[in-house]
Amino acid sequence: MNGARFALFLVALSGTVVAIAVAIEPDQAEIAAIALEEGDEGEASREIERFASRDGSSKEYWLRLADIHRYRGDAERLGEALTALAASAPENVAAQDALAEHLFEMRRTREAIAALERANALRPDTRRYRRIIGRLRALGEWDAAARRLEEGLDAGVLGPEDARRLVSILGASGETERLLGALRRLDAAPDVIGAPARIALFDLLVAGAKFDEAGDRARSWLDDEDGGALLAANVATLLRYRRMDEAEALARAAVALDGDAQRLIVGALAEAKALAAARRVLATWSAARDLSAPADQRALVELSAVLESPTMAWTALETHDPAALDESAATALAEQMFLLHGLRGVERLKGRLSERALRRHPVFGAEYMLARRRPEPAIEFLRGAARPRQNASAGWRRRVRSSSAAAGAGWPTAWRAMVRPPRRPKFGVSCDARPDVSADRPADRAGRTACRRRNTA
Amino acid sequence: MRTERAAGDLKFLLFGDPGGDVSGADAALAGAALRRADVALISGYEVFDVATRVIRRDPELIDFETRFMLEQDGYPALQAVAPAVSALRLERAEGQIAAATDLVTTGPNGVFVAIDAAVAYDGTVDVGQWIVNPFALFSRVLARWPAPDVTTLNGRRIYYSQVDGDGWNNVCEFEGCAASRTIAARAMLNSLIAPYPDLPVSVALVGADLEREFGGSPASAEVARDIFKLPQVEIASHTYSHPFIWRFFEDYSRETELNRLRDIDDPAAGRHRGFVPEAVEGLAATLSSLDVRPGVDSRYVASDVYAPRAFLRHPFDLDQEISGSLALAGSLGRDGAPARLIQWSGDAAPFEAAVRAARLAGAANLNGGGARFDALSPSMIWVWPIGRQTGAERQIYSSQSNENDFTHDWKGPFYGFLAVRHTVRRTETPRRLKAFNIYYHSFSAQKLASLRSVAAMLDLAREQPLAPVCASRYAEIATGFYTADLVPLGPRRWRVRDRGALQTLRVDDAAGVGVDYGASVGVLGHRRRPAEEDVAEALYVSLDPAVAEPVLALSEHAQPARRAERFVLRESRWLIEGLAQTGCAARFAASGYGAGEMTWRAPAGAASRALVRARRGGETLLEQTAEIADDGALRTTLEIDAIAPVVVEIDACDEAAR
Repeated sequence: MNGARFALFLVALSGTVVAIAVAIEPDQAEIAAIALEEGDEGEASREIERFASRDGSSKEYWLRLADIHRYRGDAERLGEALTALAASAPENVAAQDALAEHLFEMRRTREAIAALERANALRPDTRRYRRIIGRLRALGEWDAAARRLEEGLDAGVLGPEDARRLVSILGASGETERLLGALRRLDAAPDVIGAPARIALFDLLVAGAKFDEAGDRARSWLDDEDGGALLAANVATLLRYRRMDEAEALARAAVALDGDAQRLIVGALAEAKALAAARRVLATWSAARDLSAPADQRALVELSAVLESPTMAWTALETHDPAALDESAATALAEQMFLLHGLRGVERLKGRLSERALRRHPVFGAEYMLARRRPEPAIEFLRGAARPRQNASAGWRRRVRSSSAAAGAGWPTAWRAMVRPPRRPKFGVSCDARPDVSADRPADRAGRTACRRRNTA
Repeated sequence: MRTERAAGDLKFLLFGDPGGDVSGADAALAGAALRRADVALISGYEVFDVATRVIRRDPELIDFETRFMLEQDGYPALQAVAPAVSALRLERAEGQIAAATDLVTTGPNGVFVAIDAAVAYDGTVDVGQWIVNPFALFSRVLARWPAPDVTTLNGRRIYYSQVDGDGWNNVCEFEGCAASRTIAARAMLNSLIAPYPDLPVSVALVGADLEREFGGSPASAEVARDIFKLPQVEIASHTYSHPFIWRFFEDYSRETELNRLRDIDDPAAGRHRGFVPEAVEGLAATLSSLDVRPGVDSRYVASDVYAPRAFLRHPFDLDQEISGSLALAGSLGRDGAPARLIQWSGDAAPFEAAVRAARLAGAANLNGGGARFDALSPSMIWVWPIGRQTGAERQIYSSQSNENDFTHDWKGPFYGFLAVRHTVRRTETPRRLKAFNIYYHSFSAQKLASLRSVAAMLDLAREQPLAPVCASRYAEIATGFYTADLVPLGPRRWRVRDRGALQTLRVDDAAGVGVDYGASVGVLGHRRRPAEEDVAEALYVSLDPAVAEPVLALSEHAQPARRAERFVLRESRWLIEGLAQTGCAARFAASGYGAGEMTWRAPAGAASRALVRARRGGETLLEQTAEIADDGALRTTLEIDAIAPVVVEIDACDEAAR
């Protein structure tokens, strides 16, 4: 057996990758290896002792002795040998790692962590850091774990997932400044941070009066998949802190976002009773958009209703080609106009988008014609209803009647009675609506997130 | 344990999801389930992020092994409804996304623990830990009745040891063994069994290991006979063909099995070599050295633990696996009677028919479960329960994990089993959770490191005050836990029915509580376990196995000023039964392993010295005196062999003895 084979044998025997370069001579160590292979560990031991008599302080000696003790099952002497090995080669990372492994096996966790720390000081390593941090957490040493996380993140060997762990630990500790630092670090990893952490970051910045940074960060998130929801949540945060101007300014920054995002953003303002600001934001947005997308049209119509300004939608949409208007948007607009202005409102639509809307909405058409004492066309409207749902005249009639009656008491009551508010994907309400914070989670909490839980038994 | 309760008295303990999607179609049903524990489902999942605050945290219940840490995640919005109270409440700031939820609630009708508040898991180091304190949680809800206890016998921690026969024929590798081509089973006998006559061990054979067609040899059976000859050894079966995946055989198809075997043999599919190939290699070496006709068709000896079983030459036959293997192992024993214990193989998850077959064959069953509770597994979540229900049958779990768990599935380090001592200690203090169990395989005797580590654990067992029993008795005791029925006879008084071999009742939080011997029947004695750390004092009450339906009466005062008018057993290494006493004399049968250490409390009026005699048949085996201390403590050690029962008489009235 040559020297290289012997080194391989020792490594395989120990089960630990000890990458110490061992210059081996054909001597007692080789004889020992042969004896080990033949099951004669006594002979191997004797040869190792002879080897030791030549150079008992070298790391090669301790390494070989360690393997002999490992093979013989003498865990105590193995520990001594590995400790001596680590001491004789303090600059050797593998020696510290080997000692750590043994100490872990012996359940001497703190000593094992210390060995890993020494190895990390020599050569920082992701897996080693995570092991240290995990063990510190298991020991309940949260502050030490947080420090190691910060250290590893600073050293660049830990990643966004680790930053998330740091956020969790610091979030529980209540150390705002450190938490803010961790969140800022996490924000640099858009694939990992997730919306809730960004909301928390924004919240902490606002709480610390760092409005400029908060605004800058919030604007930088607009391009994200969850940009609209994030912005809405951030606007809500500002409103909660009574920062009305900042909230409106931030909301106005969302002109590039679609109608669904506007629902959230304007909805947040409306919910905080900042109706005037909400109207301004909606007007800014509708002026900046071409509104050709049906979703945008629907959003505009719905929001204008919520803000008690259906004419805003009308004004924005009247210049559009009636044929290009979304059917449900047009119908909804017709309903609003009818509710707010009665038949005068519907009449106002006539000739432009009303023709199409009325034809597609037999109830309004019938009402319109009846008001003009023209029952025949009214009946035609009802008979000509294209779809069964619209032909459910009894239901529609009841709704129209109740709505009409309610209109006298003010539009909001009528609106609520007649039209169920759109299902606003309020942040955090439903698993489907909220950004999936679990999607990029590691598998360390399998099955515990809301969305994932539903998919598992 | 069975108890008779009115339906209205049932408690609801909900851990984790309430049985459905709280934000979807199951919301109504989930809400109804939660209401039974006085929890209202407010809405579906809410996101609680780091801006959320924990506004209520019951220190007695929360942050038990690890602290609750808010994760950026969704939690169902729940609210404790009076009389339930919240033990862990989160609240998001008011405003756009205001939300709150109670993750842990307790009340007289039950408890609820959201999964996020039950256990925390760190995947980086594979560590899970309890957030909620399950002991405190259960004690708040359930009435404090005496609990059947499977960890203790006659006041001492139960000890038992079991060996699975895997690697029986492996050639051991170390000096003095490798050269003579000794097989692991022989090394085990020489080093781990014969030197420990005071420690019982149940040795379970894999039947096929004895068969020539699978490489067995006369030497294999000869070692088995030598082992089973020893009085401290209980004969057991580790099945015939060693199934690895039990569920595969519940609806068995030979064709499927052979197809699977072919898939595994396909080199393209890759191989996962574990201890089985090692055993096969060892076997081949044994055969060559013993000049036995090989005749091993390697196609039918699994080289892969992903095969359904280890020995596949013949179709699976449940009768052969259970009653056949029990008979085969027993035939090598002292009297040739079938073995009375089956130790499940492989994944140790037998299906109902297999467990039933064992019961009908008159055998107890054991294996599966286990425990690891040490620095690398720093939680009770790895301490498995007593057993598992499978259909109408009951599987009993081992109390500690075997060396596979400590050697990375037998890949090393092979001294890993030394770490069992930490689990043994942590399942004893501060609260006794498990019996002391040394559980290993024959292949542990193959390597010096593993053999030494098992021996070290046996030495550890010798140092401790234990009550050693054979593994089948432990399994019977554990079965008794499930059948025992405590029937209340009045305040603090219960009749114990159907307890089987279970002989201990435990009373937790027992400060100020004692045994009323005058109102009790069939109670041998009691032992107090003092409060430790945050665990309150406990009382272990020893029942007399000779009394079918003992009655336990507890008194309000723990330490009566005067001694009882009878002998009271404090602790004993041997099993005591049939206690009869008149005045200051007592007589009972005893059996056990090692020297008979025992401590009694002599009745008031006893002399300061007692005469202790042990007889078997008409022969007096031992006669000695024992001092009785001022507090009545009578400590004695009977240095005789009592594996076969003896009759012991204590006479504290005898003038000559004084």
